[in-house]
Amino acid sequence: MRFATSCSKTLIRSDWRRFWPIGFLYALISFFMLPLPVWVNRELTDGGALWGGRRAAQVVREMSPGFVILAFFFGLILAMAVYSYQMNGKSVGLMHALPVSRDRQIFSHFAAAMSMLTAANCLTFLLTLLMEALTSSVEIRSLLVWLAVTELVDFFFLAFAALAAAVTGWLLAVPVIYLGFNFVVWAYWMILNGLADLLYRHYSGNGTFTGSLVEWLTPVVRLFRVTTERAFTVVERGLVYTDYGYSPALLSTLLIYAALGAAMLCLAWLLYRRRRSETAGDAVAFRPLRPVARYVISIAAGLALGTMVHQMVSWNSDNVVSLILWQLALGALVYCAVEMLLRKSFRIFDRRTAVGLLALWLVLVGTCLTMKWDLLGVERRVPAAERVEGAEVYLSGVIMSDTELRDEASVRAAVALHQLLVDRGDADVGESSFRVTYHLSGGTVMQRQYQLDLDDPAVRAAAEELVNRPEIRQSLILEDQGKYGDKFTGGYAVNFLNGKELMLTPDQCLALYRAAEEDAKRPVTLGGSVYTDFEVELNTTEGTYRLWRIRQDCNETLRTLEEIGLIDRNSQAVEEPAVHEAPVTSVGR
Amino acid sequence: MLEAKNVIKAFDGFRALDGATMTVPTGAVYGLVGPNGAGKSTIIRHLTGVYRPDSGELLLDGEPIWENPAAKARMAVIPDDWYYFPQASIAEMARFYRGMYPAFSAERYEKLKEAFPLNDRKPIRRMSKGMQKQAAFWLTMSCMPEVLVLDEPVDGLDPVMRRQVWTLLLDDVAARGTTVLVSSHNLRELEDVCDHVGIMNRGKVLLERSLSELQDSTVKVQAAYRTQEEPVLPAELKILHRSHVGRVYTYILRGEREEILRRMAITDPLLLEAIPLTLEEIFIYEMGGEDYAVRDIVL
Repeated sequence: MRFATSCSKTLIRSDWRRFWPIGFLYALISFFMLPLPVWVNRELTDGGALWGGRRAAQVVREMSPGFVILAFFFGLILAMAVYSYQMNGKSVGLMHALPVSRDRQIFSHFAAAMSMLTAANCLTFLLTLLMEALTSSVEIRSLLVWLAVTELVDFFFLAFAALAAAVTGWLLAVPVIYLGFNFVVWAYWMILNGLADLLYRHYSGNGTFTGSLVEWLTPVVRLFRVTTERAFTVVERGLVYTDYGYSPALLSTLLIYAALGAAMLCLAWLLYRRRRSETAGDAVAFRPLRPVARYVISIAAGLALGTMVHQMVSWNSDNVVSLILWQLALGALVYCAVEMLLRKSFRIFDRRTAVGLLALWLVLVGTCLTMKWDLLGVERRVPAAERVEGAEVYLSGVIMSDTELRDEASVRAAVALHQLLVDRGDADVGESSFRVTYHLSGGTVMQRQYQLDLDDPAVRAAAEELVNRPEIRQSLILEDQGKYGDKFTGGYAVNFLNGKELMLTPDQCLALYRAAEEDAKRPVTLGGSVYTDFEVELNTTEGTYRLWRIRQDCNETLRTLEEIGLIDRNSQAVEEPAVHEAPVTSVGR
Repeated sequence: MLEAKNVIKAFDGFRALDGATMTVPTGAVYGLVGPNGAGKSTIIRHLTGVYRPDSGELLLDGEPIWENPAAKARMAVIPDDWYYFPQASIAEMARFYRGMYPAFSAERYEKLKEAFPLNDRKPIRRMSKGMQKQAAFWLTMSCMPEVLVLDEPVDGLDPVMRRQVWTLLLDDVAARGTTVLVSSHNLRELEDVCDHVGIMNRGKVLLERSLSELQDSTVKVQAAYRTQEEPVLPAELKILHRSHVGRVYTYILRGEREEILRRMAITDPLLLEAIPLTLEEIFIYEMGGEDYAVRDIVL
């Protein structure tokens, strides 16, 4: 009610008259994204009303992430349009001389932009409904969910862009600030992660931030992920099948972002009230925000560009002096460019700039040296087992890929090995790669990577303790052994050395499975060779087991593989542990 | 009554307004004059609620103007750089103003069509600068404001249209008692239309008076003496400027005409005559005292 009385109908009408093509374009793109695909997919809905409805609902859900992207761009475009008058001294003079308070002005322009998006969404809703009716696949619930999701996402991004427009008096700066607000945390996370990879020993950045604070603070990524369709296993009347739907976190995520959108709109309103008309044309309309813009941009640019150029041109990427010099040079360059933009002048070389540059250089040098000398103790950090909610380990030649640890004792064994390696220092003389990834309480992911010296009895004992944990030993031969039961339907095997392909019978599959079970009972000793260059898939009614490399001490499995005619131990390719390098993986839960 | 009280405004450390104080009486046509950069446009932007002062007050009949839609609804402004929506025609802008100003008169809008030979369906951006100025007058006067604020209003208009605009304006003042604040460098024109004048320099209003008062308080006197040597003038006379050609001396003096002539008579001139001053002369001589005199520069 307060919002409604805070709007000027004349301003809203005026915005509609002037900027309707943007709303029309949004509606047109929406038409190609929703009603049209529902119509195009009509052949797929011929299986009756039930499946038709499901198919239509699936089309609607599949398109939802696309609408997040659409909202991301159109929120920006519409905010740039309706608040463009603030960026020009003449137009701001007209608007602020009108008998309309600034409060009413900001809300009126916002209402105009939001109503354009809402009108387009409603039109898309009705057209999609029409298409569904024409193809006998009406599924109104999913459409209503889509409408609600799209409206909330539109609201959030429009409020976000309104905030970006409120802090600048320069139209071209609106997209820069908007993108900056959206991606600054992600960008800093990536930059610091890359730098940590370079400067911290054993640190392993993995590029994953699913569910973390970084993802939450990168709204477009979070909303895209949460609206992406997920597969769910559904049991209905004794039948097991896969169904699709939104993430269970969708509603809570949307509500949080909608509340954030409302907060940002309020912030934009407060800033707009304090904003001075004469700042039209300034890159940053509020003086206190200028140092923030100056340092956020130049620090990020210095760290990112400096690291990038250092890695491109330096012979020795470990040379910290070269890294720092590149960061200082490029950071200073960007700092000066930003200063010129803020002052709207090339004449920036004075005492204030000198002091600012000095501060920037201190931050850049401080960041690099803090990492290089490990002043924060990152290299020595080992999490307490109680803080570890989940972990994955990899050990070259033994644990084939990152294997998830579910058992508390296994996690403790991994932590113990990690602690031992930290205590032994950073000799890195071993030949086997060991990688451990922790998922800590609070959403933090921590990954470290070491070379294991198996000649060191203590290290060997700790590593064997880990690999002989039952859950690891079980999955050393067949990935996920036991997960899919033993009702085999058949299998497939290929030998890459001789090109031999075999279709396996259920009995052969079962024999291989039993042999693997038998081998898994025996203790694992580290350091042996591994047979490679083949791949076996064993299909059950619930899933597929894979076998693609095997230790030389797994006699039962090797014998069975020979019996079915896949490998010949005398001629099969063998990898020595020394040659194993840990593959780069992304971390997922 | 439109008032600015001790208004201070600084841009990046530079004080564009430095304690500016002025009063535009209700129903007056107030001419605001001053050299370039004096702060005329800045104070107009404050008086129309565009700029917020660093300190000081802007009032319309005692009510603050800043963020006061009720006060602003009674005022209309034609700034030096009048803005219109890029694609809009006069008719479309009229529709916008009609929604904004409660007193907007469609009847007057139609009547003013006769005064301004413009096509109100044509985009304003396609019009010449002078035509755009006419459009601004047309729309602004249709808003039926109680207070009209004009910044260089006839700049770009041809002589006929200038006369037309001033006639319309003065008719409006006579018929409705509209208060007009007008800033211009064309002092000759202001002299014809204004009844009050304020002179600004360096962010301050140096003086403001009714035009007749101003003209009465500054006198140009010509005196011819027997010799070329200038006699000693009474010390009480406030001389703003003096010059002579041969034995004929010309003085610009501040004070009452009769009193000045009486005192000058003591010097026993052959001829003593008081000549009325133009606004332009008053401006030049007043500004001369403010270190803004015309300088003889040899190029």
